Amino acid sequence: MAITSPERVWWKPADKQEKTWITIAIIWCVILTIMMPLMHIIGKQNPSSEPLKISPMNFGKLANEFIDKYKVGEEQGIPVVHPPEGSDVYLVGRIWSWSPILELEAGKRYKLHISSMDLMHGFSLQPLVTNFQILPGHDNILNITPTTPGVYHIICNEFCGIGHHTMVGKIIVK
Amino acid sequence: MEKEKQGEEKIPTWQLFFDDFFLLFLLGITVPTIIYLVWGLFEFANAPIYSP
Amino acid sequence: MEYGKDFRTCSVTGLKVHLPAQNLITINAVTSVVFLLVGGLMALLILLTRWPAVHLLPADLFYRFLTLHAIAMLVAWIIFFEIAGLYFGAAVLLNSRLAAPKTAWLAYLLMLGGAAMVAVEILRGRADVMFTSYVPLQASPAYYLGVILFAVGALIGCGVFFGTIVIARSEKTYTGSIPLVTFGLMAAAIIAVFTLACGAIIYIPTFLWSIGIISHIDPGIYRLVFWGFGHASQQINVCAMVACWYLLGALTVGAKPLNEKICRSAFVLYILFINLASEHHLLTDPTLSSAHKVANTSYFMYAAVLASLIHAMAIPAAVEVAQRKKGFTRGLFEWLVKAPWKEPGFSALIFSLLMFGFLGGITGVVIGTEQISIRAHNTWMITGHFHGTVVGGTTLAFMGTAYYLIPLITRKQLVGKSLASIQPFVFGIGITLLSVGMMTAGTLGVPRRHWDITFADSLFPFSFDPSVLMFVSLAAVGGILAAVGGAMFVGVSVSTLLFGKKMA
Repeated sequence: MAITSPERVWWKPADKQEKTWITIAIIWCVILTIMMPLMHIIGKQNPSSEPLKISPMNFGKLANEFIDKYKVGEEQGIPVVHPPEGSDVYLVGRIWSWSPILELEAGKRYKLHISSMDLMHGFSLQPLVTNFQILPGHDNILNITPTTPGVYHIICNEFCGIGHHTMVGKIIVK
Repeated sequence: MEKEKQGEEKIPTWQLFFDDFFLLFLLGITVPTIIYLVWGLFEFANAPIYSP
Repeated sequence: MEYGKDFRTCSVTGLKVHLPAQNLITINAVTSVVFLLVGGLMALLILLTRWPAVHLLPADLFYRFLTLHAIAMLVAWIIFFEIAGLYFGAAVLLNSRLAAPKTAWLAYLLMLGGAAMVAVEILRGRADVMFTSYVPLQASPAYYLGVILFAVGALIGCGVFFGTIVIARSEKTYTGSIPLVTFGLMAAAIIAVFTLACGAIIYIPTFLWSIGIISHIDPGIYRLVFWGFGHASQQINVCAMVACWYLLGALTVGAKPLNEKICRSAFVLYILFINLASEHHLLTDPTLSSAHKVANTSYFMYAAVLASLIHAMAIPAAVEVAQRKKGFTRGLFEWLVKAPWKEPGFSALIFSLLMFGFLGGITGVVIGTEQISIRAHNTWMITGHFHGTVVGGTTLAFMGTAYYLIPLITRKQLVGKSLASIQPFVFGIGITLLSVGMMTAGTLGVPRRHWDITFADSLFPFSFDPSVLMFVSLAAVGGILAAVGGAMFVGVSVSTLLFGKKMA
């Protein structure tokens, strides 16, 4: 039994039913293993593959330059920006807001840069439920193409202190 | 039953490997350390850094 | 071999029980249940807070008790119980004396002291950082020190386990290979060493940062190394749980592994590859390459999935064979229907297997892919997944094991046997509802670690689809049921320890 020592030689061939199951299991695991890189290549939704370490100070500077360049308004004290297609778009997470509010256009490509000024945050786009980890000191670079017009909200889903649950931002797609 | 007096059945090599705790320990530590930890640390160390 | 006054012979199993080992198993198991109680109380409070209808705790206490809940459960309850299991698997199952009992007591005191320090710091509000304590969030130095002490103690306990096996081998207290249960526990202990080493590599610098000696810790590196500790600790739990499954199969129906080679190979696959699952946490992180993510979470990790699939067949098959040998051969399922469902160890085994496999394991493999992780990361889907694995799987298996371990080791008759009989059902159904509710709410966007999903105090109003409320409530109801099931277990265990009739 499992609680006693086995027989002296226990390295024995498996019987037919076990062999069948293990064969099925191996084939399934091989399929899964192939699927993973395959989906990376043919799928259109991958996490960042452009590494860049950047200090919060430098990221903040780039973000402010970006906001100054493309600001078109303000909502509740958060600047609204309308960047052109193909540009580097900056989104800053900090306790406890996401800034700026991005106004993007459906069908156009943008290079999104997301980082934090202070703690870790969780970029969580609703209602699409699209989530990325945001780290201070690292730029989460994502190439995005909005497809459907509408108003989207960004909540934070990485604990960042007592105001964590109030952290909400916006992305508007026209 | 065991034939203890004459010509005992040889213990298969794989069985001996599974009985070798030290070897299993070594592999169990080394494999994830290299594939997960060392490789990951290497990537963080070599990631480009933004300079203005 | 040393016999005589240091040993007794178990009247049930005939095994020789080393008295110092008996005391250490008892103290570690008792302590684990105390922390289960603490963690369970916290679970109820935070659950009633996440249920918007009740919203019990204020925000600061919610985040604080959430931190304590995780530490009490994931670290204290589970690891204290595993240490008890390790000593049982090495000393009792091998008829051996425990290596260095005094060192094992030191290990216990370090673990207890560390856990107490951590709990106190959390309750004092000096560690509102969640179980993950992601830098730059900073807890008090005593918090990190407490975790380090606990980890050192657990590492020493693993050393005592390995030492016992070496002693048992050299003193020839068993012949041939070690039993399968001990082999599974050995796999758990090997993974534990990797886990605790990663813990040391990350907590020691973080402690030094908290006292100002190190100026900066890169958050990305912190996450990489932390999860080498954090998720690998879950893989200890998987191995220990599977070892318990084999133990419970043997104890409740006399199940015998069909092929030791197959079962042991599965454990060896765990030893080599299961720690790579730590990568799952990092899939949506910046900076780490997709190559690192794909290699760790696919090719290598699926070898561990293969191992789980092997155990998933081997254990039910062994149970079926044992039952058919007893004469339950009518139709396809008489062996299952006529199984000893009133034995808490049997129902715990079956529920644990089903919940770990279908609720926890499969969802874990699914969300452990780059694309699906984007949909699931930091949502309640993750929380639902790991409540399926760690609570539905490991905790329930440990509870089932405890119903046998406590009477066997303390020689006290189980108090509340009828309560124990239904406890796995209550707990199992509760956790199933909790896990399903959480996962569904998570796929609809509900975040984890979040005090208010109505966003009442936010700058911009936002609310989820109203159907979310239904699933959050389902989770709450399931959680309350599970809390009742947990309380039943604690009640039976404590009553047995305090009031159980002494057996031979």
